[in-house]
Amino acid sequence: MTTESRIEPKAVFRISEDEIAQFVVERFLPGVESSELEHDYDLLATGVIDSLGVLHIASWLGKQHGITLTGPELTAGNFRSVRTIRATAERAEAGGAA
Amino acid sequence: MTRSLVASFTARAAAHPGAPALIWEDRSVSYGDLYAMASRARTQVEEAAPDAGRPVGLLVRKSPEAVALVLGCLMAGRTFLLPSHELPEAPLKALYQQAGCAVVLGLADAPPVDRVVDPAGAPRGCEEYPPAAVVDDEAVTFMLTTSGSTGLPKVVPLSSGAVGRFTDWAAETFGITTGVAVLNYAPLNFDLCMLDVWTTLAYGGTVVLVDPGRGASAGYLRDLVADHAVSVVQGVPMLFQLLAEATAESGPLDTPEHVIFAGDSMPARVLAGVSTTFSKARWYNNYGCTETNNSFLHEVDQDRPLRTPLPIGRPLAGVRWLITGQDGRALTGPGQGELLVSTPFQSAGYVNAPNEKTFAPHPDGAPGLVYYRTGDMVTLHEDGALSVIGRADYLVKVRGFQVSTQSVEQILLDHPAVAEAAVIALPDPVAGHRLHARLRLTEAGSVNSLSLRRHCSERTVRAAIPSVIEMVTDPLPRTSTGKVDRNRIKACVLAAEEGPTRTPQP
Repeated sequence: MTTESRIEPKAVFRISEDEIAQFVVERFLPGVESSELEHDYDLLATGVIDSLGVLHIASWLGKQHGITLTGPELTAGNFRSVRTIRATAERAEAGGAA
Repeated sequence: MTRSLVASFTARAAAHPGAPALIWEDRSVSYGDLYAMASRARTQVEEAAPDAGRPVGLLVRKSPEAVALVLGCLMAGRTFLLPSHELPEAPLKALYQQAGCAVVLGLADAPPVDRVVDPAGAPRGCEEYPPAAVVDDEAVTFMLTTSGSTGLPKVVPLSSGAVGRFTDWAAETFGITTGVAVLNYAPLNFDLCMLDVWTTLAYGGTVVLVDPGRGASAGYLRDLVADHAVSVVQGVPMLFQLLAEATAESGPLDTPEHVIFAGDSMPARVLAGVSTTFSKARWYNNYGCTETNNSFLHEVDQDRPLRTPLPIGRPLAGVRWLITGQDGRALTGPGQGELLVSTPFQSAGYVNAPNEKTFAPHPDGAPGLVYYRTGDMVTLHEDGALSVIGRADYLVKVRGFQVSTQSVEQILLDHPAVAEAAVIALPDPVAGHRLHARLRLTEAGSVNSLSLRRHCSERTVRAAIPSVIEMVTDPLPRTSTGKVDRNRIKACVLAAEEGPTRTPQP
């Protein structure tokens, strides 16, 4: 039996989806286990986070991971799900490094 | 003059003394026996309260004797206050005092009862009883109380004419007459008894009295309906939920012809159960309150998809209504606002509370007619149908959106895994309010808050999705009238939130 390993041509972005899920659950979803939160769960449509929540997550990314998000990146759509948040952070770091 | 309730009852008793008036714990009380008991009670009421001009207080639990005591008061032409016997002694005393009661009568010697009445007494043979005292239409007979979710209940006096007109309407609408059995689920002090107890007795039907002590037993309720061939079933959603549970195993009940949803809006899940509970009944959504009795009625079309909340339908004959918008003026077309009604069954106003704002004419209403402000926010749809959004008291602003915490509760209750739900609004410096939901699931762990959020997001605006969804395993606290005690839950949530902030921050 072969296990298919993920093809990762580039270095893996250092913040994992699990880590983001862990933060979102701790901060916004009392009583929920991070394993229960699907990474494409729509956090906006279901009212888990609002514009204030976006700022909380941005601030966590800054303090915990040194990722600074600028005004245009702070749109709710960039925080729609755990997956989107990770992509937003990754883009910001790549942009900052460039 | 409208024929009074007691005059109608007396006529029925004279015409069919052997017909069953009440069913109570497998005992049947005939019209003749009930009339005799009521007449004995009347004599004792007149002895205990010789001043016919002053109200008497009653303190009774549901029983045939309690029904006889109420009828005895009516025969004596007395005004009487009928509060919930479950109220503590202090508020009871305050109510009797505020209503001006000369004496408090009961069937058992327990404070604050001053005199014990024994309607059963020793049978005195076939004695002749004097005819019931004649009272005019305007004279107050029943004084009921509101549920009193905050503070002391309000005392609602109802005139003889108002009660008589209501019983006429109810009997005609639901076919209540000799030989028709009607289930009475509510406690005797509830306004719903105007229909299921008092209309039935005025029109010669049989009241099947549910023992409130066994009111949560599904099998008991089903057996009552089946064994006594009940034709009319009126009750709160909980009754229909219990009957649905019981009939899921035994099959549908086939005697009920009219089922009437009252007291609270029917959750979708309960309504779905009704389909398989009764084999041939017509369904009605009833809208009313203690102050005005019924004002709107909607017959549910069972052939069309069921949608909740059910509309409240059309006004009853003689009912005038209007909806006031934010500027206080009547809406002239579709929209939302507070419902004001004026009914032929209406109270003249509270005995122990201010009335100026609640019972008053309206500049856009019929001249001189007194409208009652229901406190219910309603939507008037394009097709003229009305539906209730919720109590005006429960409307809050969340991030600029108007949200009814009651409608959020309803949405949560529509999820099959949710057994009980309370949604409370907490003050929030940014959002204005934020919503906190406390739920009990039918089975702990059967659903998580993420699924419930998704359920809400498919049914309402984002602002109406609670910021916190909390699950508990204990039943939610309830008030003495059986409603979820949101005030207590709110106090408890606020206390829990304030806790940590009191501890000194590093």
